[in-house]
Amino acid sequence: MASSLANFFREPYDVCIQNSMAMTQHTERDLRLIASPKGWAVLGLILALLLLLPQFLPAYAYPVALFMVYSLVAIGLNILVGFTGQISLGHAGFFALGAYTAAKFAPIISFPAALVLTVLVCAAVGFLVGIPALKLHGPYLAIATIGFGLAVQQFFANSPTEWFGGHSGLIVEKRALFGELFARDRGYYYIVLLVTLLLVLMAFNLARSHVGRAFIAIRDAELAAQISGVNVERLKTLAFAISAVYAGVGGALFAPLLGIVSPESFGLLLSVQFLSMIVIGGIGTIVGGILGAGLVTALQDQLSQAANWSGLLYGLVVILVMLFEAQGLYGRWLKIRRNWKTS
Amino acid sequence: MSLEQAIRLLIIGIEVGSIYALVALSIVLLYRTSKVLNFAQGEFSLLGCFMAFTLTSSLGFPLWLSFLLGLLASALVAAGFYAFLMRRAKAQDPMGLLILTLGFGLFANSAMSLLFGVDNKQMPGFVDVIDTWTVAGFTIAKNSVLIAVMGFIMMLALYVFVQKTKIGLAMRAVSQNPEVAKALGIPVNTVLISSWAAAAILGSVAALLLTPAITLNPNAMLDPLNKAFAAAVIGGMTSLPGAVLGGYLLGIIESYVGNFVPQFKLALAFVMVILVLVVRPHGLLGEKETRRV
Repeated sequence: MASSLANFFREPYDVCIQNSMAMTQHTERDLRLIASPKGWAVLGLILALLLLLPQFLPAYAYPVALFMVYSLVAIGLNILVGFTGQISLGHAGFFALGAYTAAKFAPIISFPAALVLTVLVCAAVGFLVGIPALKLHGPYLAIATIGFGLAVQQFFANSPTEWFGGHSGLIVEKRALFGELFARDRGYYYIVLLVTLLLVLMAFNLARSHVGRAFIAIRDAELAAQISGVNVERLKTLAFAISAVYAGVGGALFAPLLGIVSPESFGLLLSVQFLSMIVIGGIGTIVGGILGAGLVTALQDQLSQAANWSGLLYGLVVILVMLFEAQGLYGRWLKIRRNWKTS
Repeated sequence: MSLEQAIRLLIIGIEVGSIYALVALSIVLLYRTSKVLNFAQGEFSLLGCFMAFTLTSSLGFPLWLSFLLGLLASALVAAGFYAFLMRRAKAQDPMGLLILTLGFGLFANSAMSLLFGVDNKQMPGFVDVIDTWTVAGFTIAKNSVLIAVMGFIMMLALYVFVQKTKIGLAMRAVSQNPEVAKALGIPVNTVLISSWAAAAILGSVAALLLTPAITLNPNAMLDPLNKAFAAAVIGGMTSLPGAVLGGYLLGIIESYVGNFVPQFKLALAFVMVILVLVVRPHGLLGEKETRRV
């Protein structure tokens, strides 16, 4: 399934490889979201599988919903790290911001309104973090973003208990929020699915728009991009804001899924985990982020009884990816496909 | 605040600051030579600690010998990590290498949890943590003095190593321009391997000094490492004196501020980072890194 996904969603990275193969394809065609009727068929199949999953495999509704939440964060982080080339080790901060916004305000203003509020809050905070980040490069940015993540965690842990529940956090009453039908994992799954599909579609559209290509230009050659008329400062802060929104919405969906938000769950380790998702799946591609989120969630789900084994395993996977295939699983697949085609 | 309390807080600040400075030095040393931010530093240091702990508590080795063997083990692991993983990584850009150290840190942390357990172990030290001296009415913990003095000795040793020895000179050459250094016949790989070993030893000494006071577990260095990163950035990632300055500054300010608002200690470190970076984007003593087209 993953392999066919890769076949039909066109991404800039993909396009580059195609071009380097000197295949004379029209740019218009390259930039189309879904390339062929076969693409539509595969897309339909994936959608059907996702829609029917809770009916036939209800036990998987929770892990798959978690996978979708994580893929949102991974896509967002990939837009920042993989597309624009700015590192962040503080995405657990944006994730926490979204989770707390939803947990706190959904009972007051309803869940959809809280989701909109999350988008606004995270966009604003992401934009604010993006401004000082303009001046920082490499290790300085990495450490400043760690600081941001820890600051958010500390804020929620140490603010007055009646605001965000302090160290014990907030309980999310799913029944009160969604009614009987959507409160169960099987019902809530569809809410997560809907939001995820929407945001994934938006990410693919962003990647093939002029903004997405400008992000990549900034990553590959910042000065050259600037000379070509790319407004580097505006786009870099925009990338931070968009990335924060994806992580925040992920957090907002995560809060009711877990039923509780507490500060301990949003530490540095979570940020590292998010980063390892995109590294494993493939830096700089949207499908890569989704694949990485899937693999990490599956690892966690299978080894949830033995947290140390899962840490050992995906530490190992990250090492192997960096050693042998810097483009991650998706990059490996693209190369395999290219070899097949040329032979 | 009474004078006595002010002095007590200053001593705590210097004690904690020496730990931060040592770890920050190890980070800056590697950043200067390999252009890598080493997120596995905490794990390298703890590896030495666990080794020393096992040798002395299970096998009955004398304390000094097990500490030395612990240092050796962590230097070997760090050198091996560089020689077998860092050098062979596909992604040789700073971000790729940073992620590799993160991956190794995760791996080593989980491995230590599986091998040694996640419980808090009472690490033996050279002095009893509760022992004190009384000098002219002041009570000073022997452990604080030991940490401050050992920290100072290590810094001095590093200074001599980097400034007065041949390999130190080679290290400085490599950090300035690896290509030219290679062309001049400096064995760049040997220099880099030894800088990884030296950094691991610095970090391990810090961990061996700290763990008797805070107990030993696989996450014991997480908080000191975070603070050391902050200290390194405050001082400037390219400057060894900067790391020392950053470490002591952070330790002392944290000690005074933490006395009033203990829950914001960790946030304070990063507030300082942001304040310093806004004024000086390359830290207090760091050099501006020019980016060429």
